[in-house]
Order: sequence, then C-alpha cells, then structure tokens
Amino acid sequence: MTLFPVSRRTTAASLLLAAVVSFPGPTGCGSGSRPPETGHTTPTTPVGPDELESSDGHFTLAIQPETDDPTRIVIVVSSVDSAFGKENSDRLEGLIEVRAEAPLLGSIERVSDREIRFAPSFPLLAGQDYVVRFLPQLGHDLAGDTLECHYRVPAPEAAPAPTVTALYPTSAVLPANHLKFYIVFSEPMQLGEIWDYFRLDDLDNDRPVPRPFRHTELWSRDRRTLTLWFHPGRVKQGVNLNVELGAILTEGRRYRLSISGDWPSARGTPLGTAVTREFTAGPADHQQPDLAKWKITVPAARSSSALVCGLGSSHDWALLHSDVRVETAAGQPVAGAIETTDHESTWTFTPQSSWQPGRYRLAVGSVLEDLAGNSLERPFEVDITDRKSPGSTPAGTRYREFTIQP
Amino acid sequence: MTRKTVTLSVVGLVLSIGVMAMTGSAAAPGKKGADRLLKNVQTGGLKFQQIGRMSFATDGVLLVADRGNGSIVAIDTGDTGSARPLKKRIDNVDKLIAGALGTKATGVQIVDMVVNRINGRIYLSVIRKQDGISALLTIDGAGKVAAVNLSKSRHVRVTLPGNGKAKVSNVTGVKLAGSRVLAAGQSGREFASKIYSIPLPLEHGNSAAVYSTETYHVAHGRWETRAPIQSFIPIQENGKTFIVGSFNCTPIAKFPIDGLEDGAKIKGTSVVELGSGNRPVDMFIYKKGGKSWLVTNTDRFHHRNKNRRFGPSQYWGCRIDMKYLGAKETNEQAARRVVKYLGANDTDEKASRRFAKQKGPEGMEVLDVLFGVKHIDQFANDKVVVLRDTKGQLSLESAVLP
Repeated sequence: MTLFPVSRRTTAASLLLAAVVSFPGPTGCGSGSRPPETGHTTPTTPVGPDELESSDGHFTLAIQPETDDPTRIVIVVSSVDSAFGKENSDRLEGLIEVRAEAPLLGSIERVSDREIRFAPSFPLLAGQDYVVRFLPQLGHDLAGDTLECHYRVPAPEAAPAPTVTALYPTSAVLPANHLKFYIVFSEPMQLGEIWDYFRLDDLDNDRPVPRPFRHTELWSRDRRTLTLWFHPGRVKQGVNLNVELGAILTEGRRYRLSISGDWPSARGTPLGTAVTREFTAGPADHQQPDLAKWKITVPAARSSSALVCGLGSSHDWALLHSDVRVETAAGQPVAGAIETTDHESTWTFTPQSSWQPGRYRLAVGSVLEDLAGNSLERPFEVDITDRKSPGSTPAGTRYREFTIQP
Repeated sequence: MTRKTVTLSVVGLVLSIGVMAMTGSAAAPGKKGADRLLKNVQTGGLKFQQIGRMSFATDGVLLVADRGNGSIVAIDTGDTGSARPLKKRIDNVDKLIAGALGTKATGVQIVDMVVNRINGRIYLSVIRKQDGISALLTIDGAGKVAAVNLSKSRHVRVTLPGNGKAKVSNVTGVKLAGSRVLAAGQSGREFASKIYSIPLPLEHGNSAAVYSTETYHVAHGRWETRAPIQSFIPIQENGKTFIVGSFNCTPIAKFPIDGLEDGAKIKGTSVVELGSGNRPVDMFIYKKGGKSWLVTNTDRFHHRNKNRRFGPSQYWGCRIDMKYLGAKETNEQAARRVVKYLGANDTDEKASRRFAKQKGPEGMEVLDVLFGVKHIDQFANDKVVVLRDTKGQLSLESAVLP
C-alpha cells in the first residue's frame, strides 16, 4: 500500500512547502477551509499520525485499504463529538467523495453519531491516483474544514507483455470458405470493441480485405481464447452480403491475418508487436467430415502408447478437444490426454493408464466441424432444392469402434 | 432425442399481431410481485463474469445475460416506484458513466440500455475495460447515476445447458414471453445458435426444465444454413407464439415456437430485408395511426466503406408496418427497403439530405428520430429512450416516435 506522496510530518518546512506549492500532488492528507473545486485543492495543515489520515482536530478522515486487496478501500470519517447524530442516511450523500476523473459511485452509511463510512461500489484501478475528501459544509450544517487525502493504488508488478501462444488453424492453406480462427493468449485480454485490432490483407493485390470479421466477441470462460469468425454472411451462398460483396477469400490468393500489437491485456499491457499469420486460400470445402474414413492406429495392449487417428483433413481445433473422446464399448470414458498435430488433421489420445485388451470406441459429437463449418451432422450449407445433396442428420454422438488385441 | 422440424403454415395478411402479453401467466401461484416470477431466490453475492444484454420482465424483475458463462440472471430490483422519466437530454453520458467508475469515456463499453417501464428509470450494463469489471448502473429522471448493489440483490441464476458441456459463449438476447423466458445463445466453437426456453418461475440453479431449439435460415429458397440469432422479440399472432429475430447480417425473420420439443429445429421465414450489412440491435412494437409498427435500430456493417456509405452515422433506425410480418414461407418476396448508397465524396450534410429522401416501400420508414441510435428501449408505447451516437459523442435522451 502506498500513499502518494510518502512524507507526512507536520513541520515548518512542510507547511511552507504546502502553502507555496498549492496543488494536490505532493500532499498526502490535509484540510482546507472550503470545498475545493474539481481536481484542485489547497491543503494547508497536513497532520496525522500516519499517511492515511487527515484531521482538523474535530473530524478525522482515514483511508482503510483491505489488507490483501489495495483496490478495495473504506473511507472513515470520525468526529470528536456527536456531529453525525442529526444526519439521517439520505443526508449523508456527498459528505465523502473519492475521485479520479469524477466522484466515484459508492455507498455511505452512518455507523454511529460520531462516525460515517463510504465504500466505493467498484474496485479502484491499479496504478491510478485518487483524491479522497470529506466535505462537511456541502449542504450540511457541520462545522469543520474540508479534509483531503491522496491515495495511489499500486501498479501491478512489471510482468512480460502478453503473447499469442497459439493461433489455429495452423495450416498454411485454408479453404476459400474458411470460417474461424482460435487465438490463444497467455493471459486474459481487454474486452469490448476489439475489432480494430484485427486486419486481413490480400497480399496478391496488396490491399486490406474490407470488414471480413463477424463482430461478436466469443471468448472462452478464462478469457484467454477468442474465436475470431469470418462473417458468415459473406461465406454463405445466396445471403445478401455474399451476393453484394462477394466471398472473403478467393482461391489461389495469399492472405495475412494481423493482430495489432496495441491490444492491451486485461491488466493494461499491450501485446507490443503485431502477430501475423499468412496463408493461401485453397479450394472451397463443401464435404462433410467422415468418421468412417478416419485412419485409426491402434496401440498395443498393456502399453501407454497413443491412439492415433488420421482425420484426412484439418478439423476444428477446439471441437477436437471438446467433442472427441475414447470410451469402452460399454460407454465408460477412458481418461487420457488429447493432442492435435499435422495442422489439426491428426488426433491422438494418450491414456492415463496402460491399454487393456478389449473393445473400445471413439465417441464423436456430431457437431465436430472441419475448417469450413461442415460437421458430421450436416454440411455448412444444404441445398434444399437438390435431392442428391446431403441433408441434415440427427444430432448426437457418432461412434467408431476399435479393439485392443490381447 | 426426439427431433422435429416445424414449418410455417400460411398466415393471412390480415393478422392480429401483438407483443407477447407479459403477464407471467404460468408464474408461481399465490405469490406476489417479483416472487411470482422467481423461485429459490438468492440474496447477495451476485457477480457477473461479463454482463450483457438485458430486458425488463414484470414487477421490476430485470433479466440480464451473463455472456461470460452462458447464464441468465433475473434480479428483483424492487424498482416499482412512481414514474420519473428522464427530464432532459444527458450529453456525453459515456463520460458521465466512466467518471462514476473512475475512468475515461474510452475506458468503458456500454453493452446495453433498457428502461423500466414502470417508472422510466434507465438501466445500463457496462464493462470497465481496464479490468473487465461488470457494472449494472441506473440513471434516474434527474440524470443521476447510481449503481445497483449486486452484493445485496435478490436474484436467481439459470445456466443455459449445453449437452453437459457449457458451450454457450454469448447470450445475445433474453426476453419474457408469456409463461416463459426466451434466450438466444451462441457458441464460440460450432457454428450454431439456439433459442432456449426457460419456464416460469425461474428457479435458481435449475437448468433441468430448459429446452432448446436450433434456428435455421433459407436463402433464396435454396441454401439452408444454421443462423445465430442476434436479437429478437416474442410476438403473438392469431393465438400462436413466434419470435421475430435478426441474425448478424441477414433479413429479419419470423420463427414459430409453439409446441416445440427439446432439440427441435425451426426455420425462419424472412419477412423484412433492411439491406445487406445492417445488424438490427433492438426491437419492439408500438401502435400509432391505427397501425402496429415494428421498430428496430441497426448497426451498419458497411459504414467505413466510403463507396457504400449510408448516411453519416453507423447507426440508424426504422419502423416496419407489422403487416409485413405476415409473409409466407420463403424469403424470395421479403419486403426490401430501398437503398441508395452514397458516393465516396458526399459530405455528411449531403448524406443527411439523401438519407431523408430514401423512401419505401410503403410501410417501411427510416425514422429521423432514430438517427445515430445505438440502443433504444420503449418506455410507454411511442415514448422511448435512446442512446445516441453523434460523431462519437454519446447522449441519452427521451424521444417520441411518429
């Protein structure tokens, strides 16, 4: 906990300094004869046994930070007499203020005839300075001077800038109807109106692709993984955006996805350098993933080797982790670790315990998609005028059995 | 799981359409006020992971989406006092709110704005960007900002189920619809969207009775795709319940929701085409001049494209004669608003003049009063409150619809 500034001794030298330098910066606590104007005060008699108090002999203003959380404070004003005895709760408002840009929201209560307390409604911001004031004359009959303290919430300890630890899909060739990226950060990032941090450039034409992203923030619960979607309205055939603007990607062209280095983490540190990923648009993909065509390499019994599944093409990284699992033939889940390799076209499962001989099955959610949003359940787009076109199949779990030989 | 496809029956053009009666008819019997809608009410300890869209139910109950964890929170605000609507416009309301949270206007995101129709008090869901703190704030008729004390609020929370996995990454809307609450949820993984139906009374921690349906859209009578719903309102039409919803960027569509079973699939019928690149944000219905009108404001997708400008603001609004909601099954004939794009060199003044001249078809009218409106909510029939963006400056003001 740090009060800004540190020195608080009632000496002739300090009084002179306070009188000459009439701005709040170098003064921790003090009192004034009238309510100060916004953002300005004239402290005259800084007193107090420690750095978090100010007193005029009648009233004492004290800042009480929580021991383990300096962003949480309570402001206490105490009186030597029963000064607050006549003040009901409705009249207390405005007696105490905590201000950064403006007075903060908070609640004030009368604890006793001699004490009132104010608590900000929300945590203070790390690294920010606050002015704390007791304003006894403001609409009240209380006889006393304005008291003032300054409080700085410590900035978080310096830490490395956030990084993008992974960006999926990892393939250098994406289908022309590619749908989404997963961007994994080393820590939670700042939310809200993030779209200016992204850019897609058509490298062959040396120009940005206009407005390619779906402006819906979809974060994982730990706020470390963002799903960045291409706008479905430009991917879907026949939808107005696709008709009027065309598709986002053109087969054969090279593109670069950029994430601005200006994007700050939740604790306020920017990425620092831009993160880019170049890729080429391949042919559009309208084929559904086919579980029957997966090439399964079955490990030996009593080994802890990985079960390896070749998927034939890149699949959705997140869904490969959430919607593919190994079960016994009776449906009991087998514990283990999932990895994806070969640009998310190989799914491997390493069991916690060695494989026992017997029948097992892969249990795959029908929502599992390839990179173009075609799922086991249905193609991304179904042509309902074409009877030969594959339609939608029931949602649920699909199974593929395999056997660990004795 | 039983799967059922529901198609829309032909609906006559002369319709009896109205907003869902928000009576909470299936609410807890013998209870009064907010307790008719809520069960196993918790007191205190309410925190939002990421506060989102909101709407008022009845009896001062505020429905709030928690985007961060795919849940719906119903708060008994107890705010049922006498009417004190906003007296005068508040300029730079973003600065006002930010200051109350200890930061600058650029440090906050106003996620949603709604009005308590009982008394006109305005509620704002706000994210403080620096630390991601969620705030639920109010502004009273005198323009005073206050915080809802979540640590003491009576509330219930219902998490939207995801087949045992919590996949709902964003709840894009939540509304009371007669005997249930409807919520639209989107996934951060699979490209899917579900409408969740939660029966009344909302019971804290109980997701068992929640069922969901997937929403689809057919473009040009041919291409059927999943269609995440961005915003919606429930309506009743000839005794049947529908939702009128918008996607990220496709026409406004109508979905039947009566008699659906869990896991059902519903196809939307496009009823109105506002022009590509427009994302409807808020919707409601009012009556005037003997007609019922659907009002919506939209966030224009193409705004920064100089060759496709549509007025000087990213946001605009319109009203649509509810007769258009009687459209049949395909969107081939969906009523399409006339659009004349502005030239790259048009000034804002030229843009405004040309914008005002864009008429038609009959019964689809751009409303000047909704120009620049990021959020709108209805206080009483034609009386609304708008959060207006004027060249980056946000103001909060009352308005009357024509």
